[in-house]
Amino acid sequence: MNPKLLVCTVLAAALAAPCVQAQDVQKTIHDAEDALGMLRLPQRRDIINTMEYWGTTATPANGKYHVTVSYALPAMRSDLTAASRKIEVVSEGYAWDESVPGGGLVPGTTATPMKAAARARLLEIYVTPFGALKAAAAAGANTKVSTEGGITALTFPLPAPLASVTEKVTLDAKKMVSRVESHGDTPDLNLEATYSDYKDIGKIQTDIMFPNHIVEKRGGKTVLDVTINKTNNNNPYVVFPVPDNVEKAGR
Amino acid sequence: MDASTRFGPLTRTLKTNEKRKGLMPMKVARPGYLVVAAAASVLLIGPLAGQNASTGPTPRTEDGHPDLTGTWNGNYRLRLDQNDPNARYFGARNGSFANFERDSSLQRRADPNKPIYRPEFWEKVQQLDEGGSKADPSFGCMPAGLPRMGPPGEIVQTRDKIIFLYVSPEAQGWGDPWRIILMDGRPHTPLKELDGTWKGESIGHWEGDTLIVDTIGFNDESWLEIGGYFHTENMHVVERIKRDGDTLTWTATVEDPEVLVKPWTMNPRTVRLNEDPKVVLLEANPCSERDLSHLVTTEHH
Repeated sequence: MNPKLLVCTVLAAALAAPCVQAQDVQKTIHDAEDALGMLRLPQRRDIINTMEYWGTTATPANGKYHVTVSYALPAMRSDLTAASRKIEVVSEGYAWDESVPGGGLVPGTTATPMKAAARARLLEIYVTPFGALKAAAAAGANTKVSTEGGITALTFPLPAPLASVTEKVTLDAKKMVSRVESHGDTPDLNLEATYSDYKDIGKIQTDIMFPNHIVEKRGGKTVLDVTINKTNNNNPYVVFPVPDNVEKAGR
Repeated sequence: MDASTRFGPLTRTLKTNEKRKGLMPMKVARPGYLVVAAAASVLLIGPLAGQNASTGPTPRTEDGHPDLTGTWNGNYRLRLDQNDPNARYFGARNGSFANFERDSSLQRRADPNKPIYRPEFWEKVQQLDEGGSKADPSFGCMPAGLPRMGPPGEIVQTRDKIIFLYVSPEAQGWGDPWRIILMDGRPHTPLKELDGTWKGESIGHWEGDTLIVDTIGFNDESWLEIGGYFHTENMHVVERIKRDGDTLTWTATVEDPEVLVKPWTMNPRTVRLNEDPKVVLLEANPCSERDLSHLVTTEHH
């Protein structure tokens, strides 16, 4: 081969490689979002903002689980009743516990600031299948795709204030999120979640596929094992107003 | 519900109205069309937003205030010719009408700017929304009411009164297509003396070049928007309307402390002046409810 031609060919291949990688990443994210029903309208845009789901837990034993989430804010209210009731909220960088949903805004109820828990609670949003794919898309060129043994995975950093956290999303054969792992700079930011049994069980059919079995582990130990029995994924009305005392306590 | 009967006539209506340059399709008589028209208008917000850059000077009245007089429906110059770049936004995902309905439903609820109700009303809002096909007054031929009716389609401005004209279903409901904004400096009638209505009593004044319209005296039957956003009779609405050349920007702030944690300011809406000197608003056909008995789900788009 002509040496000049060889140099040009090698250079062209080297320059083209990042483009190919970027296309692979975009296609992988697009296909995964599409598999979950996130891409809507003729333009195929992600218009998923809010979700609400209920379930029963095996871990902790005999628990009732109810979650509302807003990906746009981002915010999440996790209401788990097992031996006792625990309502954990994160919204707009603030974290607090509620005595009842909306606690602190209704006379006779309380909201307790939990400033130190804000990052770990925010992480829970990005560990959901939908939050993980939104974060992968938002990370842009920082998202990498890999395939090992036929298993496709996306790896990317989370946005601030979780920029120290790297997340790995594993896709199953149907391109659905089957596993999300996070690795951060503190133990509470290391989380592993597995998702299976995807269905649309909403009263209002949305065609959004939701995992009906969720397992979360920390340090190899199962901390949550929930079977979902009800969802409302039609961008339901869920809100997370920050109580005055929580705002005063700061982010 | 037979999807083809809901979507087909609207399409024909829109095509008919292609000839009526600058006008929103108005030959619709059934609330089912409202859903499709509203969803279509939502889909158009994105592509049209960039067309709202103002041009030209803002005309003024003799007393120096901005002259708001004009037909403000420039956003609705819809032509469903397949060569029109906007036409692509009327398609459905995979060509399915069910997808169109579901995607529109999701899209209309995706806005993160929501009124923040007191916690004791969160479940009520959800239930109203989930049963919206029957619960939404605007879906059953009732007026949209303020502020859901949005910016006016035409304004006639005098020194002491400003008249707002609306066109259904652009105004997301039926009923009297007008409001009178009193500009003579009078105070509001005491609330207890007002009979609650869909549009209330509107008193206007100028703050610089912005028209402020302060309204009280509502009934509690209308919704603020799709999504089950109810209100009480004590609602107070403040609209801010500003003309910048050939664009008009409208916002509304809702105060209703009995049910809202804090005032809710709706997203600004910008409409463009219709520059056709012969343009007139068309009469909307009366709304005759014939869809509800055919609904098979409570989904409301």
